[in-house]
Formats: sequence, structure tokens, C-alpha cells
Amino acid sequence: QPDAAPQQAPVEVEADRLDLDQRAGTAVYTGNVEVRQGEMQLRGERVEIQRNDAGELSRATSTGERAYLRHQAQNQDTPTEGWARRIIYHVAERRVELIDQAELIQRQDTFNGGRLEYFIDREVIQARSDVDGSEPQRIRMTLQPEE
Amino acid sequence: MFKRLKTRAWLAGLVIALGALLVWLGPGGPQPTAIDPEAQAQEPGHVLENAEITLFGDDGKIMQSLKTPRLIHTPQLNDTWAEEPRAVLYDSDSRQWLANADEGTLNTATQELVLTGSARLTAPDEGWQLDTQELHYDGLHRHAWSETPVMLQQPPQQMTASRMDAWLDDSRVRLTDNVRGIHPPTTQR
Repeated sequence: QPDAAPQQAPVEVEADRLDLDQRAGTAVYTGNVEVRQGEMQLRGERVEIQRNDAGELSRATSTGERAYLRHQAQNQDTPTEGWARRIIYHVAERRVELIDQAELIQRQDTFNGGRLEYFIDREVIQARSDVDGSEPQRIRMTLQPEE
Repeated sequence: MFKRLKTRAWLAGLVIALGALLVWLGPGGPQPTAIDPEAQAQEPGHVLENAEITLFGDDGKIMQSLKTPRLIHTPQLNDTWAEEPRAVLYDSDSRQWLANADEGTLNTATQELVLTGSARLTAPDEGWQLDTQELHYDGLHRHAWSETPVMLQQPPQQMTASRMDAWLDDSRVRLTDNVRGIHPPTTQR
């Protein structure tokens, strides 16, 4: 059972501006946006957050040229880092989607493609080439041999 | 004989001199001083206790109302100062927004309200509350803003920033500069 602490940690956001539209139910941070939850960090020019009926944060969508993800797993020396034009953090599932020019570096292994999925607590990466509204982007992986 | 006359003449001269001095010092009765229009304009017209002011738009719809334990109204300036004002602001859908503070001033002509000291704006329909030191409200355009640090609470989330704007009719809020948000996460059930 993974350590429950990171899941419960509040998500903290810093930005230049926040626009709340109660009617549309949207909350959009813009300008040097940084999202942190425990050891997970997300950066972008624009981050839109969605909340569930209880008002809890359920999803954060970061966009930028490119948006950036960093996760320092407790049992790892080096962090997992990722870049993509759109990064979607599904909070409850602790799952991150990196979409369009997606790139992930985990230990010395690198993954590139149209769409990468990173399961934070299991540290599993899945890759796909399809990208909505764009040409498929081939998957490339560079895996370092175990020493 | 001559000496007595001399004394009398000297005394008469002294009395006449004193009289001239008094006339010079305090010439005539009270002078008509000109009224200082500027001072007059500052003079409060009414001081009321436990009062309520209601402002209407041209269409007769209620725009804002303000209750206060004590107000001072200066008609020449359309200026009303209120102690511990509790205002109700109405948006275009007639929804009520609440605002209160330590003190406030309301311009009854421009419908601009300025609340200072522990100012709070509450949106009951939307479940959020905003606290700041000085809150401005333009009643004609239903736009509230603050240029002093604000905290917006919409449980369970909470945000702070250097300044804020709220447009009541559109239910939109904008926080600007040094924005910090704290959002409890959805957890797997």
C-alpha cells in the first residue's frame, strides 16, 4: 500500500493571476504557474483546475511551450522529469498524461511520443503515438542497460 | 487757580485720548464676515443613528442598501460616512452580495462605496468570502475591487493575492499578483 501521505497533501499553486468564473465553473491560473503537491511539481504558463462536487481539486491541466513535470520518488536518487505542450494531472488516480511533444526521463531512460502516461506511485510509464488534432508522433525509447 | 485749570485740562485731554484709542481698537459693532463656501460645503447636513440608505437605479430597481448604527451625511458633497456599515449589493439578476467593514463612505450620486478596515465581501450564492483592508464598489457598473492584499475563501480552497476585481453580473473574480492557492485534493474513495 503506497504511502498515503502524498495523496492527502494539499495542492499549492503560485501564479501571477487567477480568474474564477463561477458560472462556467472554471478556475484558471496564468503567468509563471507552479503547482506543488508533496514531491510532485508541475509548471506551465496556464493551469486550469477542475474540482469535484465537494470542491476538492480533481484535475489540473497545464499548458505551455512546454509545460514541465517533476516527481522525486522517495526511493530514487534522481527525479522523474517530463515535458509536453499539455500535461494533465489526474489527482485522485495520481496519474499524469503528457500530450503533444511528450518527453519523460526516468532514471537514465528516456521516452518520447505523442502521448505518455505516468503513474506516479507505481512509477509506470505507458506510451502512445496518437495526439488529438495533430499528426501521430512516433514513440521513441532509449533504455539504459542495467550495470 | 491756574494750577487747578491746568489739571482739569490735562484730565480732559487724557479722557479724549482714551476714547480715541478705544474707537481705534474696536471700531463700530460686529463686522459682517464673509461665509467661507469651502467650509460650508464640509459642514454635515444630517447625523443619523440606526439608519438605512437604499439607492435605486434609473429603472427603479434597487442597486444597493446600507445599514449603519451611525451615519453623517453631507448633502453638498453627496457624501455619506457610515460607522460599521453593512451593505447589500444587488447584481443584474437581483442576487444579493453582502459587504461590511469598520467604516465606509458612500457617494449617493455616483453610487461608489468605499469600505475600510476589516472589509469583507460575501457571495452567498457562490459560497465564497473575500477579506481585505479596503474594498471599493462601483454601484453603477457593479464592479468591486481592492488594491490591498486579499484572501478569498471558498471552502475547502483558499487563495490570496495582492489585489482583486469582482464583476458581480458575470460572477467573475480575478486575483492579481503574488497569487497563492491552496486546494485540498480529491482522494481515492
